[in-house]
Formats: sequence, structure tokens, C-alpha cells
Amino acid sequence: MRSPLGVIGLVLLLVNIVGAVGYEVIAPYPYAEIHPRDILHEPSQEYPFGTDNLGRDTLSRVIYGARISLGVMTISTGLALVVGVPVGLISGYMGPLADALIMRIIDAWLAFPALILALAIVAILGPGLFNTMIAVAIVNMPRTARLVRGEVLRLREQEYVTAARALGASKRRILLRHIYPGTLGSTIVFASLLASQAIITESSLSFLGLGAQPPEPSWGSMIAMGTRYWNHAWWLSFFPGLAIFLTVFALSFVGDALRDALDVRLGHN
Amino acid sequence: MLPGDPTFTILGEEATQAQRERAREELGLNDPLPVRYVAWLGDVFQGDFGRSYRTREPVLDMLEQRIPITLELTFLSMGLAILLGVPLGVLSARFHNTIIDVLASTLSIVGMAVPFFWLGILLIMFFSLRLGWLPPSGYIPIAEDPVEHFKLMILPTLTVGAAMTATIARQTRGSMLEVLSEDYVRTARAKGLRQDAVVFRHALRNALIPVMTVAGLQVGALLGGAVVTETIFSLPGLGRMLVNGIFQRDFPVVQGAILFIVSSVLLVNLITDLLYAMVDPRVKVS
Repeated sequence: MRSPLGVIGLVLLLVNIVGAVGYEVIAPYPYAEIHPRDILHEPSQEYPFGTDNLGRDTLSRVIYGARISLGVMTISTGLALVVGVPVGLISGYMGPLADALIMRIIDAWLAFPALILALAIVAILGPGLFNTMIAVAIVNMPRTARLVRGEVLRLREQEYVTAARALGASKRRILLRHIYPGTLGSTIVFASLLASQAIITESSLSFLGLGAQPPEPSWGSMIAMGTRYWNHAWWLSFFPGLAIFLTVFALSFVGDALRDALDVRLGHN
Repeated sequence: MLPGDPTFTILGEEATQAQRERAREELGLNDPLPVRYVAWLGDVFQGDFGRSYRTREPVLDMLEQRIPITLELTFLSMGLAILLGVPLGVLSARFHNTIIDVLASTLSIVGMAVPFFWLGILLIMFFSLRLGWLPPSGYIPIAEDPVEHFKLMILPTLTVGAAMTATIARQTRGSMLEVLSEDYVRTARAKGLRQDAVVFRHALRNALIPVMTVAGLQVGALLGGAVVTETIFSLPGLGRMLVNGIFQRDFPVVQGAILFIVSSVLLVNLITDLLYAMVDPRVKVS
């Protein structure tokens, strides 16, 4: 973590996490509190990010939005890893039959563009934040599995694995003790990529009205709401978008720094 | 395929239970899911995509009207990305580690991190509402008024194309730098060619091969971007149709739109693979 950009990314991410965890303490107002006298108030000392059509404080809503975004990001990425990593390990190590079968399913899965697949899943499950999380996880599972499989294929030919096999280690032991730890570096770096994708997908779905439902303020739905007042209240769409932008920015910097620190090379994924 | 009772969108909230039941029977909604799916698939192979539950319009007709708009947006964005991204990447590599490189690289990182729907809104707020240079949203067919048509397409194209421009610039820079360190480039230099001749005549051709792959892979993302962007700019394309279909539980519409998008992505992937073999004789199609 010696790169300056990595540090900037980490700081931005920490600010995000502090906002998400400490919303109750940090936010100047409750996110749903209505101030009828201050409707569409422009940014001022009282309301640094302005207020919306109901006089709700945009800053407080952006801070609460961090909770939603980071929540969706953490859970969906975690879920994608929990399913994707074992599938990748199995596909890479359990023989050509399992591999062929799993990879064909994954190929079909990957034919769907990420956002379109997420849309399709939310269409099936119905709109809402929980379903958005599931959708993002399902989108990212095959990508994770494919990455881990590639790593396994590379590692299984290494000499230390041959040595372990010669010593009579079981398949299971080789996979879990010798190969799996070797895949961790790239998985961690890849996770940062998945995380930023999760943020973008969640906010896109919420922007379309399919993710977080009102009154819960997600960054995406706040931007969408702001478009109704874009003639005279630019701040409504501007600040939530800036929050998404900075978060994705931060994640890619941290990802790059991790890549350098862990010295991994990702294929085209 | 979707939950929620589509008879509510068709008949409204007021309809009686009996009316609803009759509608469900007519639409085949009472059949089990696999039966409905196979029936739908069978019809699709015969060119029948079903009818919209809401408007009773054949989905095929809807697709025919909307696909050209989405494809135009996708092609324009791709054109923009290639025309802008490749030179940007070449410049970065040509002037590696200079201020030009740093600027171009920063720009491409920004381009990749910007949520495209937010970018679209910023563009509207700035170029339409503040400066009044371009109309904010809407659609006019090209046959009606070509000038207005393209004026309305500028901002959506920038919105969808920004991220891909950045991706292509970054990929071009990377593969240019790689190619420039190869032996045959050193040979070209050694025989006294000017730097620009080396870069453009010798290196660029080979460097563009991976760029082409990345561009092909990005088509899916472009189509996904188009879906959201169309809703911002009120373009009556496939994306609007899909999103409205999801909200209205209009299954045949959703299925038709998704089927088209996925098939085009598959087609583009195939074409990219074939092109790859054509451009690079070392690759054989097996």
C-alpha cells in the first residue's frame, strides 16, 4: 500500500464506511425528516448539500445512501465469492467432466450483459433492495468462478503441487491446503472489481426505480428523483452521483494498489 | 415468468374475479411455467414473439420499431469510443510518462468510474439547461428532420460511449506499450525509421488486435448502458420498452427484448472471434 493513489482510495473508502456505520451520529438530520419551510433549498451552511422537494436534507440522505450502497456491495460480493470460489475450485480440479459441464453453464450465463441480467433477475424476483442484492450476486458468481478456475488450472501444474501429490496427499487436501491459498491474491483483487460493479449495478437499478424503494434513499434513486427538478435544483442529482463516482474511484485505486502489493495478474475478465 | 398478476395491468384494479380468471385463461397464464416457456420458445422459432399483454400489439412489431433506435445509439457510441479512445491511447503510449500520458490516463480512469446515468444528467444540466446548446431529451426520426435527430443523439452517445472510450484508451495504451518493446519494433527503429513511422505503421496494427477483442466484449455493456440511457433521454428504444415491460409485468415484451439483446451479444462475440482470425493470421479458427 505504498502508492499515493491507493492511499487516497483507502481514505475515501474509510470515509464511506464511517458514514455508513455512523450515520446516526454524523448525519445532521434524520434522512426522512421533512422541513416544510426549506423546500428545494440550495446548498447553504444549514444544508451543505441542499434539500429536496420535501425539504429533506440531501447530505443526510447521501450519508444514509452509503449504508445502502456499501451494504449491497458487501453482501452481494460476499455471496458471489461464497458460491463462485468453490465452483471455480471444483471446476478447475475435479476432472474434465465436471469442468466441461460447469464451464458451459458459466459461458451461457456470461452471454447476458451484466446490467441486462440484473434487470432480468429483478424482473423475475420483483423490485426491491433485497432482490437487487441477489441479482448483483448472481451476475458476479460466474465471473468469480471463472477467475478461480483459471488460477487453479495454473497452480495445479506447479511443482509444489506435484510434490504434494507424490507425498500422497489426498485430492481434497491438495485443493484446500495447497491450491486454494494460492488463488486468494487474485480473488481479493478481483473482489474490489466486483465491489465497484456491485455499486454501479445497484445504483443503476435504483435509478430505474427497481432497486431501493422510497422513502429509503439510495444514491441511484436520489439521482432519479433529482431529474424531476434538474431545471432549478442541480444539487439533488449532483451529490449522490458524486458519491457513487468517488466510491467507484476509490475501489479501483485500492484494487490497483492491492494488485501491485500482492503482485497478481488478472486475465481479461 | 414474472411474479405479480399481469391482469391488473390489463384490466385495471376494478375488474371482477371472474373477468380476471377469463383473461388468465385466454393468455395461458394458468398453465405451469415449463409449459408456458416451451410454448413461448416454440412460437419464437416460428417468428411469433407473442403480443403485449397491455396494448395487444405484437412484440415483433414493437421490436422492429425500437431496435433501430437502440442499435443506432450503440453504433454511434462505439464509433465515438473507437475514434476517440484509440488516438488517446496511442498518444499516451507515444508520449509515455509525460504530462500527456498522465492527463490521458487520468481522463480514462475518470471515464471508467463515472456512473454513466449520472454523466448523462450532468450533460443535460450543463449543455441543455445551462448553455442551451442542445435539446435535453426526446426523439425525432431521422427521416423527419436529420439535423434535429442527430442533435438529440449527441448527448446520449456521449453518455453511453464515455466508459467505453476510456476502456479502449486504456487498452490501446497498454498493448501499444507492450508492442513497442518487441524485437521487430527495435529492428524498425534500428534501420532508422522515425518514431512516428514506427508507432503508426509498425506498432499500431498489432496493438489493435487486443483492442478489437475488448471492443467486442464491450458491446454487451454498451447495450446495457443504452437501456438506462434511453430512459434518461426519453428515446423510444429497446431499453425503454424493457424497463416499462418490467414495471407493467408485461412478460412477452420483457422476454422479447432480452432475447434480442442476448442474441446480439452472442452474434457480436462470434463476429469478433472471426475477425480476430482475419486480422491476425497467427490465429486459426478451430
